[in-house]
Amino acid sequence: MSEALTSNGGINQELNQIEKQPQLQQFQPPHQPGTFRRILGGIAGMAGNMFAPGLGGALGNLIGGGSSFAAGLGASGSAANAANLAAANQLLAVAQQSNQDEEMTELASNLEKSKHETFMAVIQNIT
Amino acid sequence: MLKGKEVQVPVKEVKLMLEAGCVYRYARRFREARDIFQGVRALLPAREVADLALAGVSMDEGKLDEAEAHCQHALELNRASAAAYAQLAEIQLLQNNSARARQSLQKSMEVSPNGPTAALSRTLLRLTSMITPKS
Repeated sequence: MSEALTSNGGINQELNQIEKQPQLQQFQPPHQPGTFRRILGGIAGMAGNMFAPGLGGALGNLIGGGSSFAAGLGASGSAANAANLAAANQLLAVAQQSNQDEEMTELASNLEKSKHETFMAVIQNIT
Repeated sequence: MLKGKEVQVPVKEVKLMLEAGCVYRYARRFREARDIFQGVRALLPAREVADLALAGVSMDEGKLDEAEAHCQHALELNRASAAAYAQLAEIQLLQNNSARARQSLQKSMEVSPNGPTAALSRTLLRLTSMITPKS
């Protein structure tokens, strides 16, 4: 009888445990992303910050599952935004200079072509 | 056949000489180019084309005063030479005289508002406006 009781008690305990399992699962900490995913998130965050400052942190968090590693890298990317902005401004200045150079080259080319055509026209007008 | 002051010359050969002179000029062989153009000037002293060509050679050599003198002589021979005005404007631009260059270009465009000379004048005007600071 006592064995039965103990066995019954054991069954009850097992039943209780089974009932609690979904609740336990609810309270379990969320699944941590893998190391590769976290690193990937960090890299994506940095790369994102290069092209769209501020977006990189969010992207890194999204891919890295919001881990502290990814957030840290995202934050460091955000901190590098100022440097990225300066680099972007430098690139813009270089692009503007390049456009000006291109315009001047085109002008010089047109000038030489026009000069040649003008002189050839003068030659052809000799009758 | 063209009638110069003393000799008659075939047009085709003169054109060929001028083109050959141009090739020498573009190859920066100025002595040969000058010899050819002076030969053309001897053959056609009443035409402005040789003076124009010599002005181009002098300009390429950096002898701007000489180039201007050739242009002025070309204009004396033909006051309606748009090419001579355009060439003169280019020389004046190189002499940092934008105001006179602009005047010469306006004359050139008045004489010939269309064609290759007008295209040259427009390009030079654009260059002048880029060089001259806007007041």
